[in-house]
Amino acid sequence: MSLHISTEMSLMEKLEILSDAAKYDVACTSSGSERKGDGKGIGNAVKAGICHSFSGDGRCISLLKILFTNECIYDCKYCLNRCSNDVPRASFTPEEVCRLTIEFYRRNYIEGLFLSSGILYNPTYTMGLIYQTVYKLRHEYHFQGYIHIKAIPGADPEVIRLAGFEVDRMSINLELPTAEGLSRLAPNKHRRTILTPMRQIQNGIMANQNELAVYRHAPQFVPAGQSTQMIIGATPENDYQILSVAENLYQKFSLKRVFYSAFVHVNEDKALPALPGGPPLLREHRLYQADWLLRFYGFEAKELLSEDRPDFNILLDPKADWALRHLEAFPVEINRASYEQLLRVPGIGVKSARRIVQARRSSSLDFSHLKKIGVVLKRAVYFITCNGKMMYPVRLEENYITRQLLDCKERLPFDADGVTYQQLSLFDDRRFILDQERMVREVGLSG
Amino acid sequence: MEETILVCEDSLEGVLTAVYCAYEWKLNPVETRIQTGEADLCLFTTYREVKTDPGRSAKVAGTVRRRFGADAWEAICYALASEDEAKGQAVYRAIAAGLSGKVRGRLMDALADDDIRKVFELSRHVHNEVHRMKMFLRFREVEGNVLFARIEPDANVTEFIMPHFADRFPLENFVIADTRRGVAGIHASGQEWFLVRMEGRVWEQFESLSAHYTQEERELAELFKRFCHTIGIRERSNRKLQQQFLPLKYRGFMTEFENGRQASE
Repeated sequence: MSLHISTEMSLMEKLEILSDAAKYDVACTSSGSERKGDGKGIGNAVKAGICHSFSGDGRCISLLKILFTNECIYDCKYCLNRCSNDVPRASFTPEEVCRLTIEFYRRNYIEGLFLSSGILYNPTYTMGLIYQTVYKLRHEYHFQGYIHIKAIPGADPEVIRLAGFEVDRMSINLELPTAEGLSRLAPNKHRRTILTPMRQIQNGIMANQNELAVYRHAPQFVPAGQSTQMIIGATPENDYQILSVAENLYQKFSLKRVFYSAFVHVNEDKALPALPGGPPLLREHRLYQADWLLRFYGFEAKELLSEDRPDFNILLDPKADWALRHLEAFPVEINRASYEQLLRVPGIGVKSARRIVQARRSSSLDFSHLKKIGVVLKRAVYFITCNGKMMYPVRLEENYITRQLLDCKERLPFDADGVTYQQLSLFDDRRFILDQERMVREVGLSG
Repeated sequence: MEETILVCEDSLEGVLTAVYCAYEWKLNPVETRIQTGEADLCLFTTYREVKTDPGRSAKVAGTVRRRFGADAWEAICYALASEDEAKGQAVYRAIAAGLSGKVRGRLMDALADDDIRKVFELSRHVHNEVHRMKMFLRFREVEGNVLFARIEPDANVTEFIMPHFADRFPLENFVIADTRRGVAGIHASGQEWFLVRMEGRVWEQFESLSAHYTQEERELAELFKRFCHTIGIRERSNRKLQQQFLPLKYRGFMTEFENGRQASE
C-alpha cells in the first residue's frame, strides 16, 4: 500500500476532477441575456444562447461547467462528493478559473462559465470564493460573456446580492421535489434555506427591473433570471407532485427554468433506490415535455395529471394523452382556430402554429399547404380539419386514435442507439418500482 | 412562347441586377428565368447575359426594403448566400409576386406561394448554417498572436458571421477562412473587419498550419479535449443523440474531434 499525499496538482488533473464532479448539474444553457461587447474587453451574450459542442451523452456543452472545489462538509446521500466518500479532492484558484474561461472562450469552445462548488468550511465562505472569482473575471479580465453561478443556500444574503450584479444567471438547486425527500437524502440541507435565497433573488430581479426602467444604465441584477433543478427517481414522489412543484416555482418564484435530472446511481446507500434499468430517462423526458406544455402551451399541471392519475403515460406524450381524453375539443379548424387552440393539437408546436397563423392571413389553407409550410401531419391529422374537411375519414373515437398514434412511433431522444440499454422498460413505470420495492420488503420481513 | 434566361453572376448584386434588367426589358415573369453561373443549355430559349451593376442592384434593394420591409430584405440576402441553383429564380419570382400586388399583408408571411416559400426555406437554411458556424467554428492560436479558424460551410456565410465574432473579440487578431469558396474574413485588433478573396490555391498552405500552433495552444486543446470527455455521463451514453445535434460533417475542423478522436469515449 502506498500513501499518496498530493501537494501540487496540475491544471489538467484539477480540470478532470472538478468537471467530472460538475457533470450531474443539468443546466448548460447560455440563453436569456443579450449584450453587445463594449469594444474594450472580450465577449458578448446572445439572447437565444449558443451550444458549442455535444458530449457523448448527447447533452450540450455551452459553458465551462466546473466546481470551484469538490471538498464538501455536507453528506448528501446521492452525491459523489459527499464528505463520507473517499474521492480525490481538488480546488481551483480564482486565477485558474479566469484563465481557463478566457482561453477557452477565445477559441470559441464555450459561451461562458458555469461555476458551482462543494461547501468549503461554510456556505458564506464558499459563496465568497465564487463571488471573488466572477468579480475578477468581470473586472480584471473584462469578460462580457455569459456567467451562471450557483447561489449557495445558507450563505449571507449580502454576498448573494453582490454576486448577482456580476452574473447573468443564478440558480439554487431544489435537489428533491419535496421537503420529506430532502430531509431523507440531504440531511444537512433544509427546504427553508433553499427557498429563502430563491425569494431574495426574485425580489432582487423585480427591484432591478424597476430601477432599469428609470436609469437605463443601472447595473443589472441576474438579467437572465434564475433556474433550479431536482433529481427524479431517487425519492418516491409521483409525476403529479413533481409537476405541481415545478408549476409553483414558475408562478410563485418566477423561475426561468426548472431542470429535471434522472437519478444516476453513484453511491451505494440503503436510502437510495436500486435502478437496474439505468437512470429513469423516459420519465425525465416526459417531465420535460410536460414542462414545455406549462411554459409555452398554456397548460396547467392539473389538466395533465390528477390525484387519480398521478403519473404520465409511458407510451404517449403528455399532449397526445391530454387530447385523447378531451376529444370533445376536436377536430380543430385550421383556418379559424385561435393560436391557443392550435397549440393544443398533438403534432403542432409553437413554430407550426405561428406559421399557420401567418400564412392563413394571405390565403385559406388546405392540407397540401400545411405540408409545404412544414407542419408535420403524422399525428395532427386525427385532430384537424381544413375548410371543414379532414384529410382522411377519421372516427373521433379514443381507442381508434390511440392505436393510430401508437403506430406512428414517437421519436424519443434515446432509442436504438446500438449501445444503450434504454428501450422501453418496466422500470420507467414508477408503479412497477413501488410494487417491486413492496415485494422486496415483504420478502425481507418473512425471511 | 419562348423563354428568356438571364444569366448573371452568382452574388447578391448579380441577381439583383438581373431582376432590374428583367423589369427594364419588360419581360414577362412567367416566361423569364434567372440563372446564376453556368448551367446546361436549353433549346428554344433566348440567353441574355447580365453584367453586374452595383447602381442597378442598389435600386432593386431599395425597392425591396421600401415595399416589403427590412425582414423581407434580410430573407432575400440570406437566401442568395445559399448554394441552391434555383435561388435567383425564386428571389425574382418572389419579388415579382410582391410587386404585382397579389400578396396581401407581409410578403414573407405568404408561405402558401411556392416562390416565396422557396425564398423562406433558403433563408432559413442559410440562417441555420450561420448559427452552426457560430457554434462549431474553432479558433487555433498560431505564432504571432493570431487566431485562425478554417470552415467549409454549405453556404457562403462568412460575411454573416464576421459581425458576431468582431463584436465578441474586439481586441483579437483573427482570420476566418472559408477554404471551400476561397473567401476569408479578417479582423485586426481594434479595427473594422473586412473580406478578402483568396485566389489560386492559397489555402493549401493551411494544411500545414498545425506546425505553427503555439505551445499554449497545444496545451489548451488537450485541456478542452479532456473536459469534453469528463463532462459526459457514462450511464447516459447516447451517440446517436450526439450525432443528431453535431453531424459528422462539422467535426473535421473541431479541436475536440482532432485526430479522429471522439469527445468522450
